Amino acid sequence: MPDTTDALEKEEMFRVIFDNALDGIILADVGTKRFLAGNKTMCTMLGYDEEEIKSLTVTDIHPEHDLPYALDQFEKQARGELLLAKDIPILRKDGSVFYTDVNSSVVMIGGKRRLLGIFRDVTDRRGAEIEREQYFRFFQISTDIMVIADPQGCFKKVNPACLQVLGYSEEELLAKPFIDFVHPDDRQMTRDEMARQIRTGASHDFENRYVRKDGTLLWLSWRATHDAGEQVTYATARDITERRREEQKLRESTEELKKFKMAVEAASDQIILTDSDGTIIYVNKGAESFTGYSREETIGKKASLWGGQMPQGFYDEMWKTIREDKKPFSAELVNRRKDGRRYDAEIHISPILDEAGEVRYFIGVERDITKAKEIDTAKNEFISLASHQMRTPLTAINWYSEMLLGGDAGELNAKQKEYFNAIYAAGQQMNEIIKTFLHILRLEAGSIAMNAVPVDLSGMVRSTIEESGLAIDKKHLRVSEQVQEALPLPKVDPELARVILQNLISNAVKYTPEKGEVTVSLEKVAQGSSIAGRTAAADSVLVSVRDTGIGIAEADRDKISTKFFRAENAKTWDPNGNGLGLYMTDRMIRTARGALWFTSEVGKGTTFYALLPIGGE
Amino acid sequence: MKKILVVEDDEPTLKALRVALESAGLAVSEAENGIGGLTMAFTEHPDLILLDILMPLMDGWDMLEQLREKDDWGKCVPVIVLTNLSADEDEQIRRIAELGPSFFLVKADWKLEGIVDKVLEILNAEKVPCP
Repeated sequence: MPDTTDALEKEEMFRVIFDNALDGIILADVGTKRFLAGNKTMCTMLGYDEEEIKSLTVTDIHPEHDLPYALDQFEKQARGELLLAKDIPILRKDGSVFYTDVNSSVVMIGGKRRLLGIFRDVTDRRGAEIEREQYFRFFQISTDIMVIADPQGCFKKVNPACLQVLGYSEEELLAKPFIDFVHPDDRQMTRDEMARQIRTGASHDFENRYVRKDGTLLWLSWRATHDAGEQVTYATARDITERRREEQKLRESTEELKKFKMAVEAASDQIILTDSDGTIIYVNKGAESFTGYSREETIGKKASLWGGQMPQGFYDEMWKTIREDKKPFSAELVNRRKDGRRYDAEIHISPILDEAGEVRYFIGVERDITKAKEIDTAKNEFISLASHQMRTPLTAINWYSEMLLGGDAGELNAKQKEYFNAIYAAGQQMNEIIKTFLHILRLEAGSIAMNAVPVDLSGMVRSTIEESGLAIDKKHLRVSEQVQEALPLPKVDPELARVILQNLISNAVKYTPEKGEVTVSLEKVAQGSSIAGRTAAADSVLVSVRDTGIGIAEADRDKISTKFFRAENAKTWDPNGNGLGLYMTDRMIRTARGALWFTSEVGKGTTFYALLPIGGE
Repeated sequence: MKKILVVEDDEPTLKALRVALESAGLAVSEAENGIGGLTMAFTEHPDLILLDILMPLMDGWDMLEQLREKDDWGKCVPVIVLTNLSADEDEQIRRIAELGPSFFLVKADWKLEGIVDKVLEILNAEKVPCP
């Protein structure tokens, strides 16, 4: 019975193979998908015993979620279309899942179609693949540049970030040695670094510039490792263009700050910075030499350390301006050095506000004007002396002309009279000029004597008009005076009032063309009433002098009362003016606590308004 | 005849004043500085003094001060200070005005005729009480 023996031996052989195979083997019915037999390995894989397996169908060993796919694979294999189904998820008896590759073949056993499946557990392999995929995903999604380069200096692999940052396509980047994309100035340095990396294999931080496809520059910070075995370099890079730019900006602004600091330090003016309380937080070198106090002695203190020499009202006004009104304050003042010596200074203090509009700091700049003051005083003394000295011979000229004209030395003929009149008029004119100088000196020195008494302005206007009689007649001007009835007499220094009226009226006469009109009106205005855009601060007498003259250009409005200023049209009209009249008038009116302003239209005329408070000072 | 003392160092000014005052019927005596002025004042007792300020040896301020301090006559004699004020004299004017009846005229601002009128006006006025 060799056949039988053979058959028995064969069966025995298959059984051993079946039982001992390291892969799981299952025999399934193609139609019902029921399992007919499973080997030991399969049982171990699934956690069922041999008997239990025979009660299962294909649908029992796949997770529900993957069932459609698994069945599809089964059908394909049953039709002979697929030999190897990969990564099929398998459900164990205990509910856990593992992955297998399934190698299958359709066999005929006993005339029936059966599917023989050989299952190989690929969980480990799959894990490695997943891990690789995960790493690859990092490579894909990284915002940092990742590249692999060969020793020839070409990129072999680049990640999307690299493409995005550099603006080239992958083909473009792989086509040329990457050194071609490096900024020309950085190429040598980059080559040296590459050589060093290959030599040492170590990873280094290295920064260089690349040129994007659009031509813009890109700063990259590299870290690379050279693998000598694989003969490749792995490198990552980060775009640090923005950081570099910030650093550059910071460097520049630091440089700028340094410059400012040097300038402030070296300034010969005293510059101090205080907090909102006036406590000093910075003083420059100039301040040290100014006040005699060292930096250490001043910081944390207040500027009153060397101040406090002025009346309290001065400081009240200063603090009100800079702290409450939050406006810059400028003034001249006297301060005292550490050694007790006083000095004249000009100060400018500005509040520095924060975003909320609150005072953060005060910056104070102080300039020593002791010298300037001395020069100014010397100049004023000179003018004073010169004026005084000039007046003595002038008096003789005037008085002797007067005597001759009065016939004290015998009767004069017409020609002689005319000439002496000319001498006399010139003498008077010169005296007026000298008087103006002296008035200004006294106004500026603040030493003008105020002798405020009730003054009959109306009479003064009449006599002033009479004084200008000659010029009025010559130009055939119509000059009229309008005086409100029962006009009160304002208390004012008579000399001041006279100079004010004289200047306003003589200006009107001077700058009005022939046959023009000049109207001087006097009226009482109550405190708070509004006149030509202004409000009277007190009960006052308003002097208005209206003319039909050449007018004042709007551009000259702010300058008209400044010392020596003469408007272009006024200069053309009368080249001989000295630019002092309105300056003096304005200062005098302010001395009398009044106000001076005007309305005007070029070519039509001007009206000057002078407010003189009735109560005086 | 009323007597006027003119204290003035500038020759032409002095002469003009003398002519004008004399033609108004007044007697005029002269001095050319404060020292001469004080001597003349106390020997002649003029009815009014016309006084310049800027003079050599003793200026008008000093003379006026000594005049006012010497005796009752000196305290009460009217004085017209005739000067060409410079800028810083306001304070002195205020101080000296307290010492006796003084008038301050700026020479260059006044006609001779006006000064003579002023002199006559003061001479004819009621005596101002002295301090």
